[in-house]
Amino acid sequence: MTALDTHTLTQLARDKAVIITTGSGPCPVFARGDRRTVATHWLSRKIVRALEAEGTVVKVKRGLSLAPTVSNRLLNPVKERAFLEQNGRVTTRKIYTPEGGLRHHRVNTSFNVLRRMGARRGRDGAPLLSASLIEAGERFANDYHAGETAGPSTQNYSGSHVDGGSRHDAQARKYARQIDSRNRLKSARKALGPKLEKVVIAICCNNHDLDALERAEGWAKRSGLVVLRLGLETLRDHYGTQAGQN
Amino acid sequence: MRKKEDSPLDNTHAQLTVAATALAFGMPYIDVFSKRRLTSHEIFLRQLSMYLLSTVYNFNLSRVARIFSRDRATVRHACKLIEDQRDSPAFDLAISNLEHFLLKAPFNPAHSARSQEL
Repeated sequence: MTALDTHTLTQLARDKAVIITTGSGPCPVFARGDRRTVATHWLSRKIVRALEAEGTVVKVKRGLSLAPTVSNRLLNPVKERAFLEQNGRVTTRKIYTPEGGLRHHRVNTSFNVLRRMGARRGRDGAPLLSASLIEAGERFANDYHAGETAGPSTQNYSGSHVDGGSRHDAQARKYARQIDSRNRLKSARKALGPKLEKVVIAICCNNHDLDALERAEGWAKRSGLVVLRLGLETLRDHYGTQAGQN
Repeated sequence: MRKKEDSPLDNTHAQLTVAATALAFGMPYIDVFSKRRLTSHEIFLRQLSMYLLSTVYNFNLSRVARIFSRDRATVRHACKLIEDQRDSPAFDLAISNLEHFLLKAPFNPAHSARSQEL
């Protein structure tokens, strides 16, 4: 959910809104799809395309509507928050909307596409992605986001006047962390190459849907997993995340 | 009934506005001036045209109402609806583009005065 802010999405979910995509120009949004009423929102085509690509909206009879999973989550915020407090690892990330705006976005990093696929099993009973592949993908994603936001991803246990000095250089350390993660990301991207990095960034870093990616790239159905696995195997070798390997 | 402030070019302005609006929103040109009952798409087109006529050409509500053979209150209602929807940035941008286009459309006020004399 990146293209639209949560407030607007909640309003759409509450209204059971339908986005009408016929015609040209901006798309009107009608509550319950009732075109006799005044449009509650107008969305640009770019935003609607992005929402469709990330799987937030699905096709219905009259146009596009919020996916049931998304609207259920938005309409039960208390349940969602309670669950996050117990199981979540929430971080704040910067997100650029399709129209070029910058927004801060709270993300639960323990629920990502990689973990979801890791929990699924193939026909042979083995998980779709092994633990080493998931770890490699998550490391890549951490560097990708840390290089952008420069926020510390872990607790800093170094006390003042312990580890060589005071905390006055906090800002400098922050930038050093940012530079380090950018360098790590640079070398990982070099190892991946331009074709594979596109897939890995879309899935691991931006949490895009694999099906949506296949549709956008015009690939055959279910072929995305093979490409993703190739990318993650390259990353696994690069980071050395497989146990028992050098 | 035509009033003193009306110009014979009012209908031309209205037709241009309706055509531009229909093109901008990807609708076929519809005779929104007729008195028949319109569908919701057509009503939106008429409301938007009414709004643009009053904002771009500074026609007062009664003058717009006479062009569309509707009541002045209908025009006021249309203007209010469109103005409320302009809170959405995407819609506001589309309307601003339309206004800009209509302001740039070739129009010589001297011709208007001559046609008044004729």
